[in-house]
Amino acid sequence: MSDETRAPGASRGLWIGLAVGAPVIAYGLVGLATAAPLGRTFAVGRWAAGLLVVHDALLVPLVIALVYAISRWTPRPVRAPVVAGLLGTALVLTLAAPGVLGLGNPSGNPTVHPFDTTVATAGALALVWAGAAVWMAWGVVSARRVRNR
Amino acid sequence: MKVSLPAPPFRSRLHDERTAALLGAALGIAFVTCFATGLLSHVAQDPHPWFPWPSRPAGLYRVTQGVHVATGIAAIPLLLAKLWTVYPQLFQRPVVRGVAHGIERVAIVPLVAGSLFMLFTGLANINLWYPWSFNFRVSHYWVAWITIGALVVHLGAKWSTTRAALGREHAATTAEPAGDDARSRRGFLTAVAGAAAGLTLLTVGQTVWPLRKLALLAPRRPDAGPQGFPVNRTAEAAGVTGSATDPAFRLIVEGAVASPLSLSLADLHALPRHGATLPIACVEGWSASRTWHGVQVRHLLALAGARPGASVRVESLQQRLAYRSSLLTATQADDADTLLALAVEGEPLHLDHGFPVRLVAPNRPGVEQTKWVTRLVVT
Repeated sequence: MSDETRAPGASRGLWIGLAVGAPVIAYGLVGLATAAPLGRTFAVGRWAAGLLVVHDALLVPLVIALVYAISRWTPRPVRAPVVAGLLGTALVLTLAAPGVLGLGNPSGNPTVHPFDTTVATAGALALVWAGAAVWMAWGVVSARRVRNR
Repeated sequence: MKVSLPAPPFRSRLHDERTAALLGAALGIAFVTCFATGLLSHVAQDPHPWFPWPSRPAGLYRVTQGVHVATGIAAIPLLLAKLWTVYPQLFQRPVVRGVAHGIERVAIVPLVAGSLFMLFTGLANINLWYPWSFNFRVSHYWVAWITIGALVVHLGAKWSTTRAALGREHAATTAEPAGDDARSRRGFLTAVAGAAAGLTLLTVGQTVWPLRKLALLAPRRPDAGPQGFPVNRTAEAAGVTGSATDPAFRLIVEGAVASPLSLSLADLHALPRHGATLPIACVEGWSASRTWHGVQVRHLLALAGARPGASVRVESLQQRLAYRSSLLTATQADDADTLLALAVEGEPLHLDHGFPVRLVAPNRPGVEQTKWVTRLVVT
């Protein structure tokens, strides 16, 4: 956002937000620092910073590259549904990963992921791509209508 | 040779203030909902004198924690879309334009890092996956305060801009022709809303019974487990397999009582039974309602001669790991449906559900429904 588009009163809002929010942040920081040994508090900081770096330096550039590649190599009417389908796939795989990869549940509790996680994930992906296919079909039909007008 | 580079995606209206404002509003509602329900969960596990956790309505915790986890999951696509929309601002130059702008930018760091931390650790927790060295509950709680504080700062900084951007809708739709960008923004927001709704639909069945068959991405199914519902900690993991099946088992009632009790399992079965249909509602977001039969805690307290208004610490046979005991406030202990359950759905409890006897009380987190109970300490 440029200075020209900065809304009037933005600075006043910041100071009000800071007056309310800063003590809340401080409360959280003090609570985190005193609730556990300092080494564990630093571990929380490392994880938070690591997730930030992974998101900003890895995940988003990958998505930018993906969107760029799709915008180059797919026809316009199906572009958005293909991107949505791929990102939906990424979300499904993120949620399904612990079950599919057998992460966690160290005691082998049989009621955690009690079903075939691969089949369940495939079912979820089928729903995502069914939605994307409907969107693609709608895009193609709409484009034809516009062309024939 | 002239090399023509494609227009960077940053020029798209997917990165404009209105898109960011719409996503920010949705994300703000999600985060405030998560924060409020998370605080309730915290208070339910550690009751404060200034906010005694009520024993009614019986299904309140089931609703608040179900909403907490469902909203957290729905917030994943909202957060990623919002960060995508504002990503170009990471490369804003000059980096800092003044004190106010510098503070605004610095406050973004705890907001984004905290948001990613909250959603990642929450998602891992519902899968009982702990790839870190810190305590989940402690960290999730305190980082929530940091994140919500940073959100308040951000809201203040962006309040005017957001209002202006949202107010631009009428002007934009009437004055500008709906071009490709407008369509792609609409498509983008529709896709994000669809992703949030889809993830909710594919996970919320872990607590909403009619949708259980659709819970393809949920780690639990409310109908899967011994006696038809899940277990959070098995008897083997708790190390009670031997002690819980020992014929010499006794239930002790002691502390501030006139006549301490020591009851065998047969003694317990001989006491008057009470039935109640109550949910087991886990902090990980799953829940299942079942009909329990057992002895009322208030009946046991009366037998032992405890004073009215006494609170009770309920102790398990479990010797290690967290949650080996829980506290019943006076209100909870006196509730007619607070039971030391001996049976569920007409059958003796399965060992993993707390055989020989477990606590079941209205409106409590699952981790506070102590299993394999061996002692009530009245205070």
